[in-house]
Amino acid sequence: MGMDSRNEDLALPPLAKQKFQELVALLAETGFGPEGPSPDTDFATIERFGHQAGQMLGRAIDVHLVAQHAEHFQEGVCPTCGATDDSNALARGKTRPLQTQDGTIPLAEPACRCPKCDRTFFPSADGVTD
Amino acid sequence: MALRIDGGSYSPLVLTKAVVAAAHVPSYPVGAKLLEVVGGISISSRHLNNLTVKVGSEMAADRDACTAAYSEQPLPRKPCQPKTPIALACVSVDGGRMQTRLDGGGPGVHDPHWRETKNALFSRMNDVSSEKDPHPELPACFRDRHRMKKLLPGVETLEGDLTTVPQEAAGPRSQHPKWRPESLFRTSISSLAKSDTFGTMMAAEADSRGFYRAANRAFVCDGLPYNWTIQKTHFPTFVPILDFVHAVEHLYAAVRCLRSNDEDIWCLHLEWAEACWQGRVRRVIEQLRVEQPRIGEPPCDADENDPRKIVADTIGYLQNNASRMDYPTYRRQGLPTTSSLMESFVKELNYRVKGTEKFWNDGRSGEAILQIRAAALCDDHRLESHLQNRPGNPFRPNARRHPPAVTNAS
Repeated sequence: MGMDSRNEDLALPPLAKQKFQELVALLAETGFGPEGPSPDTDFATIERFGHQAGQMLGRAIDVHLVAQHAEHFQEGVCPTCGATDDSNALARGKTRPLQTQDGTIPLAEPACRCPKCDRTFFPSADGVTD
Repeated sequence: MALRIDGGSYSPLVLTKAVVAAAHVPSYPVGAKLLEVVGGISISSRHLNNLTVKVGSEMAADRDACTAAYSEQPLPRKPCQPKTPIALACVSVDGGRMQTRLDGGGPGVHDPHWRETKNALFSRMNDVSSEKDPHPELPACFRDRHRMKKLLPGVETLEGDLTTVPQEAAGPRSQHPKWRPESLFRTSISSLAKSDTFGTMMAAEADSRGFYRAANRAFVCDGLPYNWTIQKTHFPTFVPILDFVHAVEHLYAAVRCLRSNDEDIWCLHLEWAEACWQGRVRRVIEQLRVEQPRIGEPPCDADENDPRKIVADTIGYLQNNASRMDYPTYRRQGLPTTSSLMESFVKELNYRVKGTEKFWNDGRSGEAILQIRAAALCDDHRLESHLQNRPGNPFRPNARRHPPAVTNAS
């Protein structure tokens, strides 16, 4: 049987590990109460809840990291003509839905406007294909 | 530093799952259903179709760029080194068929027609060379009437047929030394391109694998002339080998025209098939030439099914390919004698692209699905690799590209 990448845990430092355990306990209590699941709870119900919580966490991390990533793109160079737009790309940013493995997230992208081409471009996306 | 995303509504990982699914299932609706039920990904079959065509077209463009880069190298070309030493590099080429329709003809099927696909297989194989011919006798499968019935039209089997060779009689497989080379790693390409263009694509693929620096090299295919043109033009240092199964099919067709009794047909077929297997094809050609006058020479306007033409064509086929039928030498050198791996590959490809209900646009979408399917069947995960390394797009489809055109309001 091959390695299942789903079993690879993140290497968390002690504090993060502790906070993670606290979050797990909090979420579990939210889902099933302080006493945990009742005796007649089947495993599918538990698994479904755990998966849903994981997807929620995954989406939240995606949004958080994309927002941090966007900070690098306050200004941008037009991929077509090379002109620089140094106005605040973040303020002009646009949000659109993006379907990820864990569900749909609001993807906020910094947007620049080329003063020469009069065209909007998204510097955090990369590439020059059109 | 960048996200490498485009204006589409799917993340790169979701896109990878969607297109890989589309490559492996028989249709887009099945792919969409599977993605929803198994992957929890909601996507319509039409959208899956569009994404697949988009990615397949990108792969076709990449392939064309690699082929152009290969062609434009200064001569003499310096062959690439293989990443893994190659004991035997085997290249095979074969045609397939897919149904197409008029590109841009609107909804529905307009001008339905069959198109020939060109397919090539590149196999790194193991070394099974030996001092002596490891299997001089005709393999049991070719003597087995029941098995040959599936391959050769018209083979009759009788009750209690003694010519049926059960596997037990031939001995357990483990007792036989492995004389057939085995494929260790394969890649493949497929296209609707013409054979001369496809030959260059094949050469570029073979070079990228380091096949021109392999210790031994073989080129196996059926006897179609364009295959040998590709071999002579792009693979001159590869040993050209005619697929033995195709030779057997031609022989059987000829023997059926020369004998009327089932037993006589089978006996003569076995005799000639064994002669070819043992490298005595010229002797078979002589015997066919002796038989031809007995049924007469075919007239110029002879029908394809005219026995005289079938025999004459077989003589021509064997004559043209005699130099590529030295099977005892190939077996000693550990080279393949059949294109069975190629035939299997075409079947795998057809699982996705061929069907009575499947019509591909004769152009972009037809070429795209061939790229996707052939890539999905490669051992180097090139489909996943392409999807994970796509560049992003800094523009969005919904971004205004040009000042709005002035139109007359009406």
